[in-house]
Amino acid sequence: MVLTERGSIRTDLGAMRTVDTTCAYCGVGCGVRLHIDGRDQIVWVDDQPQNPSSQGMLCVKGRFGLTFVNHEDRLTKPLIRRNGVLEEATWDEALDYVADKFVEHRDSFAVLASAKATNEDGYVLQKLTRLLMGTNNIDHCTRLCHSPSVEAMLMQLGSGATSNSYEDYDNAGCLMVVGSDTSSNHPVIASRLRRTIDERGTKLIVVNPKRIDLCDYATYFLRPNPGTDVALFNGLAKAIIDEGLADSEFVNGRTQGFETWAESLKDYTTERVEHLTGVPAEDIRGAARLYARPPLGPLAPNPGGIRPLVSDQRPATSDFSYGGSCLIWGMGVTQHTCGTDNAHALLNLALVAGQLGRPGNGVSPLRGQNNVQGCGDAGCIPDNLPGYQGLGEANRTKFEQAWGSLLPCERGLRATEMFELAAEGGLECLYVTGENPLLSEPYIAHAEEAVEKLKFLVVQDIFLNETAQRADVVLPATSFAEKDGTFTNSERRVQRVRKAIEPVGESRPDWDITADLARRIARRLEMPVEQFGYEHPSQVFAEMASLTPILGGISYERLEALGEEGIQWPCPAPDHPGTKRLYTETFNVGPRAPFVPVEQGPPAAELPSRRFPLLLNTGRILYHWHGGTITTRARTLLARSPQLQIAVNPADAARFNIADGEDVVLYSKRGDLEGKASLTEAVRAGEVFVPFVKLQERNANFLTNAVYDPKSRIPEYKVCAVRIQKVGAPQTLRPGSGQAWRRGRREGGSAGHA
Amino acid sequence: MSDGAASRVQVTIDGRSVSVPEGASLLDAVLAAGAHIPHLCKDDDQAAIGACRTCLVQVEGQRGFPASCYLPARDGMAVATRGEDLDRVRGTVLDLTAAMLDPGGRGAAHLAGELARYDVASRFERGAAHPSTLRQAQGSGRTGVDDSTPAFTLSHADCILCQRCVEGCQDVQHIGAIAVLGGGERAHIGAFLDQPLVESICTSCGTCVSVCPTGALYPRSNQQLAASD
Repeated sequence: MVLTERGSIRTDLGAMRTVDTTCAYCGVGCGVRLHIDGRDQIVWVDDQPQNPSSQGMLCVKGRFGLTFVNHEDRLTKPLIRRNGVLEEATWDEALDYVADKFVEHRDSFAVLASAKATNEDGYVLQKLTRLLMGTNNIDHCTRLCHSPSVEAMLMQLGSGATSNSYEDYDNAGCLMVVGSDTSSNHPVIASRLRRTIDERGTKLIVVNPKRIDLCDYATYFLRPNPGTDVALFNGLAKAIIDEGLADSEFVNGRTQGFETWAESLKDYTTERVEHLTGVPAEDIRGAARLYARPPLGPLAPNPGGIRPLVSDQRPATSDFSYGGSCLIWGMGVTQHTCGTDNAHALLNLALVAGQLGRPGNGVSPLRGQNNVQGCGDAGCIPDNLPGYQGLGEANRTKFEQAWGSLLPCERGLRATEMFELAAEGGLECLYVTGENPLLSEPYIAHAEEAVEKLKFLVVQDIFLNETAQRADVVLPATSFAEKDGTFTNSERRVQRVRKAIEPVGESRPDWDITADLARRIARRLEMPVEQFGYEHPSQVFAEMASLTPILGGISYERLEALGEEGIQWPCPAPDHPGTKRLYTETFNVGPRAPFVPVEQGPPAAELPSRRFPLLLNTGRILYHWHGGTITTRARTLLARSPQLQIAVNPADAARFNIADGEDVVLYSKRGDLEGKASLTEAVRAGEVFVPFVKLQERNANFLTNAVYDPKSRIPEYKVCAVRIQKVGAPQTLRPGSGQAWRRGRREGGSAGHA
Repeated sequence: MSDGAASRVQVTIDGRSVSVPEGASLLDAVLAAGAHIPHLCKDDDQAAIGACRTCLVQVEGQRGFPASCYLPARDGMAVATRGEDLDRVRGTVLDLTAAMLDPGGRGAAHLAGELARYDVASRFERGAAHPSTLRQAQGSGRTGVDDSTPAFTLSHADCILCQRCVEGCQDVQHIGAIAVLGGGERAHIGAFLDQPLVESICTSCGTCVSVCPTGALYPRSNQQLAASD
């Protein structure tokens, strides 16, 4: 082996072959080259430099975290609960049992699809739900992350997808990153942002209550009080208008409702906004100027020196005769009771500054899961057929003709509504694939109650997660490394996922399990089974493309011919090159995008009080993925970050007599959580931060509040009130743990009162 | 790439004619021709560093043995990758490079193949003393190995200071956690203030590991981690 030649097989680590595929962690969609040994173990992961989304970059999770695939905890056989215990069963036993039960509970049935699975998995699953189960009750974790962005973008622009490509970040004059710890959650995007800042002098504005790593590169760091984002963005917009920086050509030609909206901003003077948000008026004005009039940066130099990366060819100079601003946001915007209003305020800002639809600008809700974009595209949402085609007559007829039976016309249940309905005893049967709601729903104790009330729960996953432990049937699925398929990343790029190893144990790909199950259900319902006769995911994709105009021109043959390039939708025809930017001419809502006036309301449903004086913010850390079901099974990542760290400001630590590294416990009205105190100025006095990964049986969602944004039904993960004290310190307020409080609450006592 | 015929140059490598895009280096042409020469410090996807001086070639009509990674390919160049004098010079460079390494270590093992290809008996085989004891005592903690991150180890006695890792950290990932610290015989790769990597801004992304030509940066296996659980 010659180590100097990159991409050569790492025989020194035992590898015998390599397979190029797409990383299964976040929505960036990085190319990975898996090095696999003779026992089908992933022994090393290289970047795939031809992938245009990652351009040879890779983060710690992609490089060292994919070993979960070979972890000994993988589910290898179907499990059926008999006499209260999950016992191994054959596939036939399990699937026949599930089919019987699904038919029995057909009128009270819902599905949670997986944003970690492929487009093909999602498509087959929603087809089963709609065609056989006769319901639109299908949703996925987008409800818990970007549903407010999607609601707001659908209303104002007509599509919930990122409008630009990553290459627009490379060519922007100004980047505004709002409520996103990009270095932790989308590390390769952060690398691209740092690259353009380093090499081109691009300006960066960070908006975040927490000091994130990217702040080191920021021109402005705006630190609003939690829950005051609407005021801040209204203030920024008003500053843009007042200083005459609005893009009048764009506003006059491509928007509507400007006058009414501008009138609604009259109270958001920078001084009043400073009072509301805590952000200095001068910073608001400065950031507004930078966003509306980004500097005209020099063209990005070819980073490859003598030999540039093939995938890194820059667009022609003429495209960049002006500076553009990209607006990039994450969960800090959405996971609030005012999440949709926050997203509207952001979009208004982009519209008034005309920072949309041209090279070097755009609006980007950074997608969390690897395939959260594709899961929605494939139709795993309660209000749209695949490709965001509404449930209206014409669309239904098209699908009914293709699928050979009638389809439901009523909007289905959203994920959070499923749990509320279940808690009331109104939902009998739930089919969960590749999700773990008992870790990701807010106020876990409440979600557990809801699951207890289900009559039949099926979980299809790669590990026996918290939800699977309570299931009646567990179906072992394969990971991304054991199947073919496609993911769609945050820039709408459809990318190939290639089978690298044989399925672990008896596990099967999701699309295969679902199609098999569907055939059994169809037989019981005396419906034709041919609708689910797929033998390869390429057939699933071909059917999806034939019914979905935005994917119409994409096929496995085309994707394979393009290597790692992928194709960005909309791609309506086989000769269409794909679309780098949306909204260059018009919007999906029409030629004019509406402004939507929004007002700052109460910052959060639960604010600090005398008994719970601190404000808890939740989020993620670089070394773990969401709830940690996967990353705690990647040894490198777990060893790098084995304990739950509770970030506390030194002033609060002094106030509550806590030292760095000490074991502390947080209490909210709903539960408690132990962790190690980590003293840091990154959080402000009065605030604490906990990643929502579950480590050592501890998870922040025991604390978080199950209150929802009325428009999108997203839970308010980002704000709740807590108290902190040392482990073992005397309980000053009342004895007992959070568990006791929950019991008290259930018995009719009001929570949090002695 | 859409390069037309006009933007390509024609060169001859060991008598074989190849065409490469204008701006390509002679090393690119050599590799395109399917010939092998060591290029320890040149990452396939990055700009040339020119530190290792092992990718030497002989160009017809030019004196000396230039490093091919830094020499632009020009139309009509005739290049040889082997030759008595060339092999001798390259062998000496490889031998001196190997002399930086712990002879029993991973780096020396990786270099052994190249040494054998050019028939170089290393100076250790010839009985010379090696200076690697000094290098073993370098870096954070003065143990010679930084194993502070669970993702990989950095062994100074296996490092030839080619700086591919530094380039990967800065030019690929734009993190800039590592650099060459110290000078002369004390030069070594390390983080700011010689802190252990885990305490620096390093994010353990592993780009340095993937580009290291000698295995000085080496992944820790699952088995190792399992044993230390």
